[in-house]
Amino acid sequence: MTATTRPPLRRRSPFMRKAFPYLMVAPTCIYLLGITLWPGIFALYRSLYTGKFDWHQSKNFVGFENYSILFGDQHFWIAIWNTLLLGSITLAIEFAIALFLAALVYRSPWVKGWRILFMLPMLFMPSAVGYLWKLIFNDGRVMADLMNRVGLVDGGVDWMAHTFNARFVLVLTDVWQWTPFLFIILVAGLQGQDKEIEEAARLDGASFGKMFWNISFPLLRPVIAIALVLRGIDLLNNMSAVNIITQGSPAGRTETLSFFIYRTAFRSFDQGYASAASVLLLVVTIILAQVLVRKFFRSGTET
Amino acid sequence: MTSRKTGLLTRRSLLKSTAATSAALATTAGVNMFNINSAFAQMANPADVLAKLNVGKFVKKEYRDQYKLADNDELWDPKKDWIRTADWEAIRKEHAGKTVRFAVGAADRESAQEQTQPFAELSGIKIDVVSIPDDAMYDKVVAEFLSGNAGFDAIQFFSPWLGDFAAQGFLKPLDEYVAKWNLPFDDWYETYQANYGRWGDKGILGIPFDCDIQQVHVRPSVFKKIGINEIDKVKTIPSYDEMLRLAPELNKAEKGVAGMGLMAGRGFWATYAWEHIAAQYGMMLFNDKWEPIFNGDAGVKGLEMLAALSKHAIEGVAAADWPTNRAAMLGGQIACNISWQDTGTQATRADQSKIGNDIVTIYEPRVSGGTYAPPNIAGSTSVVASTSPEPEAAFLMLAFLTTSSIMAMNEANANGVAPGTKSVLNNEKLRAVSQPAKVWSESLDYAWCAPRIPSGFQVEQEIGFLVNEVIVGTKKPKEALDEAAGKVKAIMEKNGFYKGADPMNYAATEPGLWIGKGKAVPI
Repeated sequence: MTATTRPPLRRRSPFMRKAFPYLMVAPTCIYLLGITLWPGIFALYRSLYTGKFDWHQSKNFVGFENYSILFGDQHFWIAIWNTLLLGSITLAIEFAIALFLAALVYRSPWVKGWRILFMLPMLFMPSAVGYLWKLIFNDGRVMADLMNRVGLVDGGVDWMAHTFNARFVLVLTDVWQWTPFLFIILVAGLQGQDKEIEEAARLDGASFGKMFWNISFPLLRPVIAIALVLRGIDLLNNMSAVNIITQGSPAGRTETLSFFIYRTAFRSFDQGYASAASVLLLVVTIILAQVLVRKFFRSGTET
Repeated sequence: MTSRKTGLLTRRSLLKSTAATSAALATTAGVNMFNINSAFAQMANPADVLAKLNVGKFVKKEYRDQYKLADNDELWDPKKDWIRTADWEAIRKEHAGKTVRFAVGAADRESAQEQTQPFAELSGIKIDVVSIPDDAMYDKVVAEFLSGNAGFDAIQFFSPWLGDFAAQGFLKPLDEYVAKWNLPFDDWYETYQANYGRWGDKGILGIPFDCDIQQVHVRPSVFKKIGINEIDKVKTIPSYDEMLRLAPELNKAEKGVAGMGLMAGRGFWATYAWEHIAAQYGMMLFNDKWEPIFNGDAGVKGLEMLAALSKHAIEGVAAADWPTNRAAMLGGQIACNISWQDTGTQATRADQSKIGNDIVTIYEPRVSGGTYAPPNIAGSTSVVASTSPEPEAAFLMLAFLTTSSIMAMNEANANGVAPGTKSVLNNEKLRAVSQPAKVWSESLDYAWCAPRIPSGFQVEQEIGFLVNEVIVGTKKPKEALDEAAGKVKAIMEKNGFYKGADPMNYAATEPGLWIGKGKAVPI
């Protein structure tokens, strides 16, 4: 019987040896870039054109005209202002509450229970939460009724006709649902800190407040940066609550940039214009994320 | 043959015709004979199917009990009910075995879905109902039209979009099919024919689907508390000035009940509320050159009245859309409401409303020196896609779904899909189950409607943003409408107007914009 001889193994060429790992990850990278980068590039491309229907054939290259009209559009600037105002107020309130709660419970033996309890609002669909708060404030008039009963007001309260009221409803809706997100991250960050440092400070006679502000909080800064960036990006894209509760009322004073883009694209059907606004939203998001990261992303141990 | 005269078929004639069709198909197209035979063998006698398309089967039991409806009560005129006059034998010969895909807005899905089975039994045509969320409908439809892959044969959509799709040539003209299959198109009220069916001078492009009108609904129990013991549909609120006078009184009449209900949310909701009132002042949106004229006196007065009424309206009116307004009215929180006609029907159904029979739909209030122009605002239409490989079968499906009897039973079910034919709305039995029907039908002969121009919905959106600013007090009416007129002109220019060949013929469109023009006021 003749033994079959196997061909000698060939060593990969130097090029293949370098390229092989890249080839292995290439499909995933191409897929991820396809679903993340490509829509952005397409939006940028489309923002340079007008054309409502068969725009591949009848598209009209207008260069930066959509952008120049956008810069002169009062609704756009109001939407940017609303986005930044509502976003920053909401983020500040959520952060303050989440930090306070996290500081209270992170060494508690019941911390796991607190985490589950506080996480509950996050588990609801944002649209369901929107309808819930709309029902409480507007459709069901529950809040006005409660305020009547405790004597705060006499009669109804129009939450949608006044800028402050409508913005308050949106802020409250977001705070209720998303403070837990920051809470979970901050608790995890605090729990991950070295207990011995706290122990040493306690032995030196430091109070809880001093320990927290001088030791725990500075060490938490990188975690805070990540949490604020993630939440901040989310707030810049705030859309569902606005769509469900106010639709931008009164007179556009609660219209966020995301809602402006949505209604331009899907109610006015002006895709090029909406694409231009999307590109600008992306730019605003990148700038703000960079600012937040640069400001906070320094560990307390760095000098 | 008797069956020819009455439009009914005998089992014998049907078998003969289907056998002949099977043989023809098998020899000419090489189709498997066995399958064809089995398909036809399973088809029921149309007379039997039609007999089952009745109130007893399709109207909810609680509503039948409420109005003491018998199973075979006819809420329609059988002579005008297309499905009972159609030649089903001929339809089966030509179309049995085909499938049509029907894209329908999620809100109107139910009425279409429950009719797929009887239609298949009658025609041999299978319907695939594809329900699309209303917000995504426009884009889905456009994508389908553009891709040319004929994903949908027929589509039902918001009627203000008709101009967008018609101007692009996305819609199949239906005149030929209407004539061939004797669809009683003239049974629809003229306002629906002109604005949901015909498009300018381009013929019939759609079949009206959900035929809406806005009306004024009042609650007698609240009016009683301000000394009005009986509601007179003509005289209780004869004018908008009177409505404005009564609104603050109604506000105080009962705790938890607001004097007025309106939909003045941003965008098209506010536009519709303003158009409703401004039309009574004689407002028209455009002149014969398609230039905006709605910022004239009539438009401004209408907006002033809307703003004044909104001050006495229920909280949240500046963000109110139809679901919010409907919930408030049916929940008993409004004394006098400006809304679509279906509020007047749904209010009387115990499973949908708290107010029961405490509702009366009145005739449109007039204004001094104005016009009588009850507004036909924004229902839906149904069309056949120009890319459809089975346009005739798709047409037949639409003819079936919009036929008088099915639309009448929709109204009896208070499901929000409204009939728009004279033979239904003038039927006394239908009027007995639809509280607003009498006033509604009499109003339609005078109806006002916005033209279905390309970009019409975008125009409604832009006007609505500015109307909303007036409601919340950040702009004056004239200032807002002037700004809106400028924006509307820019949008229309972008969409091909003012360049010598307007995309829509004004002269052909104008008669449908106000059907009451030149007629004596009926009340």
